[in-house]
Amino acid sequence: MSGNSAPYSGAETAKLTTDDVRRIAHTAQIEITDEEASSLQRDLSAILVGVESLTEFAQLDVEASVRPFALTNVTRADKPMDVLTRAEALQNAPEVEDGMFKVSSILGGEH
Amino acid sequence: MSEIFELTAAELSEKLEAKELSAVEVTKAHLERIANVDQQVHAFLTLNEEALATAEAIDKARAEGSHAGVLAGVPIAVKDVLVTQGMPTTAGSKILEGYMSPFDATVVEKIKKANLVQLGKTNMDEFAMGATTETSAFGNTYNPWNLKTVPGGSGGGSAAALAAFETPLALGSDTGGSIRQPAALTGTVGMKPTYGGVSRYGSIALASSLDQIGPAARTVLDTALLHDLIAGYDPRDGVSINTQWPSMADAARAGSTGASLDGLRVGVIKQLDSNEIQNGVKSRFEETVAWLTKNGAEVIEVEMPSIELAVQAYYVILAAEASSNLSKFDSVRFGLRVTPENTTSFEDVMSATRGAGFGAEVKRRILLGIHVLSKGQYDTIFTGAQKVRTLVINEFQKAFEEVDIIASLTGPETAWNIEQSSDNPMRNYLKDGATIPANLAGLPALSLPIGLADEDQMPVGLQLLGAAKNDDLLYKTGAALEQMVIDRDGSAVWRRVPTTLEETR
Repeated sequence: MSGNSAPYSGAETAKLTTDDVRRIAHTAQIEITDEEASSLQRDLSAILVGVESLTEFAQLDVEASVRPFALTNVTRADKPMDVLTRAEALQNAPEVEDGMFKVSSILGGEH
Repeated sequence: MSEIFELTAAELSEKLEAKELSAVEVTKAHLERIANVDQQVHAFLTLNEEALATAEAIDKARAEGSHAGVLAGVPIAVKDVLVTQGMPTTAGSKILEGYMSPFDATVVEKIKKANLVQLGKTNMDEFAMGATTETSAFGNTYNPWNLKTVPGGSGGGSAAALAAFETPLALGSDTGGSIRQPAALTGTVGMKPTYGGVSRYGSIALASSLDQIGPAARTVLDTALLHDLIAGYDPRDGVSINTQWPSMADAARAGSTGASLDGLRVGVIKQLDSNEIQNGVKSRFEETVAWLTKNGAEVIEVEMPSIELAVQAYYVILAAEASSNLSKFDSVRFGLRVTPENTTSFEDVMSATRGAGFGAEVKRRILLGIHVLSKGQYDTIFTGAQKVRTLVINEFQKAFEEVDIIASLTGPETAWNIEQSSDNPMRNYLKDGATIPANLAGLPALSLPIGLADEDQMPVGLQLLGAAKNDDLLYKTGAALEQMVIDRDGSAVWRRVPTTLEETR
């Protein structure tokens, strides 16, 4: 994208290296190209510089909010309700065998 | 007489009830309009092939005397983040291309039961991450006011469809402004209800502590009519509020028929005033505030020092929650599967799939989320963001002890050109400074057009914010302001959209 603001070439302080980015991408289970690793390194560094002042509030003596306001959990009686049939549950799966989701070997090795 | 597709949902409802128009006529008029203009606007990703059959069934039921419902036969567009039976749902992502949901979202179920006619699914930023609809994997949507500009986002498709008269009603989702900001940029109306006010069951989750489904239309009353229909308790949404909501439509009608603003305390947030606001946008806001004062409201400046940090807190919290919510796209149960050559590992398949299926903005935010939740970052950045969220919530609570409603601009500028967003993601995020706080605090917020900016003749949106569960006050005040604009300009903002769409065909 061509920007309409001042030319931008990344944050002054690189907060992450491309190796950091590759490690995070691995944790996220997202394969990235070398080109993506360098643009992500630039963008994530800029964002991390942009949100840096938040760290000053980490020690503040207030509650850390996980939701907008206090809510009562919605619960219901523990009895079966309308659920997906097996066919419905499988209808969008990329691969199915014997009425089950089919995946490659979890631990590697033989298929 | 207006074309059928120019009528509001309220007008269509009356004519359908009086049998001056049939649901089939109304549906046909909108489908023809879509056929004529959507090549330019690209608001829709999918059209509902069953639309006419649904309309026929509604006409038949009405002829047989059954009570069809207030909005029966009125067409509606559905943002592609909501799952629908019979039409694919993609959330704007390649990873979900072709996905057919085995169930309907609760709000979709509700509009079906109320006999509305679904026209189709509208374009959006991928997984609602974006403010221009440019991150959609299926192409841009173009702003009907000027096809060179963005319609806003993430719900740019729904807003553009409304502005281009392709539909009178639309459903959206709002995590940080995705209903309100596109409404502002397209001269239409959009509402983010109180968190928990409308069910999110069947909405593909972005950030669950922020997400809220809501209505959009061209008028405040139409938005309210749709709000009434979709609101209410749903045991399938874990944060749904079990309460009796007042009629939003009654509130809107009261506002437009001259309900008094005497004594209404309107807050203006000092920290949202800035030199970065476009001149013509600022003038419209100042006029609106002056009008409120003239008509009996008391305008009070409120201090919200933490609001300047809200954008930072929001992006950290959103990224963290999104990285978790989007882990479900694992190449097993639904969506894309990419199998690299010479691999036997499940992990390689998952990584290749997510690498190929997610766009750049989605990858950026998932990685940011994983990072801020990691050891060392969680106790600093993430906890800091959650505590800033608390400060924002507390400041709103304090503000609403002094005022009944807060008025602000929805955004600092009118629609900008496609591909002209900044290369620095943080700079783009800062434009959402006025809409984001409502999501952090779970508050209702309505955006409505208050005129055009002098310099570019593009629409300007006003945001009204209320205390939790005060959604009806926003409709009442919003409808009064909408009437003020009509009296001042001689017509509603949305009626002044340039009529060049067919000519450029």
